[in-house]
Amino acid sequence: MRKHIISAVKGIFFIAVLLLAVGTARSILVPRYVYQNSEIASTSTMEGFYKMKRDTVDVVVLGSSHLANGLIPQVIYDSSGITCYNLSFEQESPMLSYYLLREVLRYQSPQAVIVDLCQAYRYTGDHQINMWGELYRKPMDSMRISQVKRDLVDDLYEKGDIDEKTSYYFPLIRYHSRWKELTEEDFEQLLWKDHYELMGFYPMYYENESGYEPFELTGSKEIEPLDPLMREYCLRIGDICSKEGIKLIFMSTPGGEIGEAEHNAFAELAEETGAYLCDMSERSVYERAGITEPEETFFRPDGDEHMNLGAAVKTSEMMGGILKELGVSGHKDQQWEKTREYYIHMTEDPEYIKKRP
Amino acid sequence: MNYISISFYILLLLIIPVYYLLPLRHRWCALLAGSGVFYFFASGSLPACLCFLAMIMTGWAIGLLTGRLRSAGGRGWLISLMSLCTLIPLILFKLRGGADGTEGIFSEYKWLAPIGLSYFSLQMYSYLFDVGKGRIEPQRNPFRFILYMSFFPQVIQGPIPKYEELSPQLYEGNRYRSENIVSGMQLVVWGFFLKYMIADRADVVVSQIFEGYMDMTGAVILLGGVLYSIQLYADFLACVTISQGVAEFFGIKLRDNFAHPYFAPTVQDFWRRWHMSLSFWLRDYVYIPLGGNRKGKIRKYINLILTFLVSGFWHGGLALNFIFWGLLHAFYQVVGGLTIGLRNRVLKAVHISPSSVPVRLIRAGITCFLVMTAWIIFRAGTLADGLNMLLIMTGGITWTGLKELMPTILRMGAFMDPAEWYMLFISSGVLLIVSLIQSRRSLRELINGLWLPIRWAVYICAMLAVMIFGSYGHGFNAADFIYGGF
Repeated sequence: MRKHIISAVKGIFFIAVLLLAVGTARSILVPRYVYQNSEIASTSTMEGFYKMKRDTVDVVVLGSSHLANGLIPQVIYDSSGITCYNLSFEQESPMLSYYLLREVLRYQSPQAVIVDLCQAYRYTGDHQINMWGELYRKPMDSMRISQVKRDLVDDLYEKGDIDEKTSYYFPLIRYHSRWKELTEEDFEQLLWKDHYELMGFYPMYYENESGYEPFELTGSKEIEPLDPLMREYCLRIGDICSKEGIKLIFMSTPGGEIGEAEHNAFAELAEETGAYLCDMSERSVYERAGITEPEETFFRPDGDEHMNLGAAVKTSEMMGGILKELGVSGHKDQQWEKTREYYIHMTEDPEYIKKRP
Repeated sequence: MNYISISFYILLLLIIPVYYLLPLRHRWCALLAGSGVFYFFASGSLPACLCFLAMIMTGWAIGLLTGRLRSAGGRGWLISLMSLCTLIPLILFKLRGGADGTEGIFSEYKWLAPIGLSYFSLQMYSYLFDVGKGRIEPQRNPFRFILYMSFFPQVIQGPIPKYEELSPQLYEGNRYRSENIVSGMQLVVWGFFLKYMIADRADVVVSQIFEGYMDMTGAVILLGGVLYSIQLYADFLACVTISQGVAEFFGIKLRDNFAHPYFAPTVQDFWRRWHMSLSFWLRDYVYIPLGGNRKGKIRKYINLILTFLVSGFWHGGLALNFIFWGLLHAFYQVVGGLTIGLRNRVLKAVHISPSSVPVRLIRAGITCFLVMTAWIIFRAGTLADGLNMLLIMTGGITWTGLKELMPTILRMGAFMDPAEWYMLFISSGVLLIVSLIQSRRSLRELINGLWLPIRWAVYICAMLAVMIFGSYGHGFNAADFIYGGF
């Protein structure tokens, strides 16, 4: 018996050492998208979400990079007292938003959810998921293993994802061949401090000379239909929200392709799901935000449609107001109190969040 | 589910504790249940599973009948006929492909073919043959017989066991020994190393060369032949090693299937070292029953040719490249047998000992070349492709071409990334060193004798090496075990 106990202890110790070694290999090989090296810090955003205390987030944002650069949880909190976490990622489609909402509900009980409609139209040709594979992997690699993740993986697989299912649970399977591409930075990042202070927001610092002209509602009944599959996921999000008593806000930020026909499609969806629509391409909403160009702009000089920090501040303040109007109540929370200083540093110094470690 | 899937190891984690928690005499039940679950998921087809079960039960019934007939002094021809009946499904399955590689008769019923048919048919035949000869007693318990036939670590691709070797280990139950777990783990890790570091990485290059051989130079085809020889060995050895490792978790020792075949000085010796369980099966149940070498030289060579014809058929049915491959090996051995005297006389005349190191090295090199040549035919899509490749290879090799081959490939990153090439060289070097050590002493004993922290470091480094540098997952085509396809 004593022999068996000794061998069991040895076995456990061996497994622990092995797991430590594998964990280290994983930290080096699996790419991390953090403030220091990425425009959209997917890894920090997802890991940061899990670090929030349970049931402390009043509002969750689920959207594409437009909202990752556009809604600042710290500004929403400071202007309205409402705690907010921004779970927006590059190209995040309503399909991913649906699963992220389910994941959110495992840890938080938000009063409202803001969902971006940017990806409700198809941008990826025949690719059903409406996100490029590399992009949905970024948040998923940091997503905890759960039934939600399992359902998401199964769904991706059904829709033509080519990665091995197991690689979503053990990302080393997917990224081990990066050993050929490793650079000094991959090893250095082990020493970097993890930052979650911006809670999913990522600032863009630029100015743009050309102005944006929002459209005006003319009463046209023309509708540019949403992608049926993406619409289906929006409806599912609506179902969850109505079941859980969560206020749903659909949001769209200015972009070259958003006109009245698209707005009408958003409005129809909002009506169907009982959601509030905040379409910033429409003049009345745009003017409510009070954007002052060129210091505050939705467009990079190259035409890319992402808000700069100034526009994001105005948009977030406006959203804080909308949330209050919708009856979302805030509360004082140390998690948001503590991050204010970091936020102020970030607004003052464009290089601040890039600093290592 | 297969031997390298995560689900297989999850299943294993369930079976092992159940096995050791059951009373000793009932432990075989855990193996039986595990074998059933594994076979069902590996097969993925209920009709094929039922077909497998029906074949086993037929074999069991014939075994009992054979035993009775033998003890009653029954007719030998009837016993032999009944044993041969168990090979009918295998023969029909092998006839599914036409000689030119097209779909042949019975191809539309291939969904009925149980996986591992090529292996367990031979296993069943050897059991019935031995029962018929009175070498073993028939198994009366049908469930125990099902376990013998379906023992999950080896059911898909061997090694083909002998009843008297495997059955006592299965039925009597084994006590828990931590050494068995460690030993099993060593073998499984080594198996994964062979599969992911060598076989699947070589496959990336081999597939490109064999599929586009018309545009390749002779030197590149030679490279393809060499790499395929390494790939096939590493792949098959990997599977058998993993099977042995998994069996050792239960304290069961499966027979070795390889004994460093590429160190063989002759083709005849090669077959004593390559896929030994099949070679010995062919010797015991085809060559010797045909008369072996007991009826003169001519009959011996005819028997040899027939045995290798059966081997070719077993590998590829009527596909001509497999038949030709079998006959080529028979040809090598006939010529080898006819010229051995002359060759030894020549060596004696020039005062060189046949057992000297240079002669042994040269002979091993020639044997490797002959075997590699045959592997090209074996791997080619059709016999015509195989012969064409040999034609290009023999007609197109120049010294400059050979000298410049690898530097050019590495410079251009041809076939795969240069880093992958280096990893293939390093891993093949490790295989060579391990083989050299193992041909003298047991490497595992050597490792077991190391100080614990060093031993663990070896294990962890090996596991990490496979996890990180292995050719699996994204960007690699997961290759099935080659011999599973036969």
